Amino acid sequence: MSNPLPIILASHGPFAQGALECVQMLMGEQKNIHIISVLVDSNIDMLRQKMQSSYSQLNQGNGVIILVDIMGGTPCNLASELLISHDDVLLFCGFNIPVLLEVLNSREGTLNDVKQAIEDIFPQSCIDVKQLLNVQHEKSNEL
Amino acid sequence: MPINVARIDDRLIHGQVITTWVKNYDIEQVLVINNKVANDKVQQSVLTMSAPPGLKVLVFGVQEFIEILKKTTIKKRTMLLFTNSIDVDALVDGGLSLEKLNVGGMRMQDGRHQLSRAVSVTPEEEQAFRNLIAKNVVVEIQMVPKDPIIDLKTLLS
Repeated sequence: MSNPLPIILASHGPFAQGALECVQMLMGEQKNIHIISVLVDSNIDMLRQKMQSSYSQLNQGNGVIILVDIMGGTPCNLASELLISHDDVLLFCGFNIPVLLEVLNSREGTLNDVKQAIEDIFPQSCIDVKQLLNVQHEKSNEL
Repeated sequence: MPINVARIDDRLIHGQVITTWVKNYDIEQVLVINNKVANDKVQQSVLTMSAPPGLKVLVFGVQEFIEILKKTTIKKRTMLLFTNSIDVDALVDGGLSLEKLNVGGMRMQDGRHQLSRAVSVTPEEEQAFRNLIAKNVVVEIQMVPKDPIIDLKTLLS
């Protein structure tokens, strides 16, 4: 039997920590979850290191799920750097409690099972950041 | 030349920038001026990807942007983003005309001392701020537009 997929929850302020406490109240203690809280005075390089080391520590060979609060925020940007440089990262932004509960219930499977679960059960509730990697942006030289 | 906002923020494009500055100033393009990011493909992809639809993001090295300024007129509503005061000072010396510089964040790290909660400087960065102020650039610390403005000059001894 494979190990449940590890999770990194990252947010501005204590939202991620609060979300974890909320779901633990509902489902009991959860293992292999790291919290990253970005504060006003957090140093970006320290946060980047923390994101990288959480990924390395938690990964048991079957990948890591990362859930962040908003698209384009620092938690999402740092997680996107991991997403680009590793092929075993599943990154969703805009997570909420129902989604987190669903992820916790489906993390015995593969990253793809979790992705499917989020998209089937809560369509359009959050965004698979990987899909945005391929979006073409305007490339004109006009400033 | 419509530079609508020039900001120092070591997180570059992130939650505060997208949810407030870009919206309030109707910014059409963000130009990130930083040598490190100009050589880092991963960070560049993330910056481009994290921008909301319709916002153009380009990354330039400091010297590269000085050369571009000499030959190009900026027409779009523009936000310049820097990570430190030394790069801004170099750009002003290179011909960028700037009335006001917004300072959002230069977080604490080795070699820096703290001026305010989110702004810390090395002696060289402090000198660069002094140079800018001497060149009549108003330097204001303000994380988001709703925060009170602190004139950085008042924090220099």
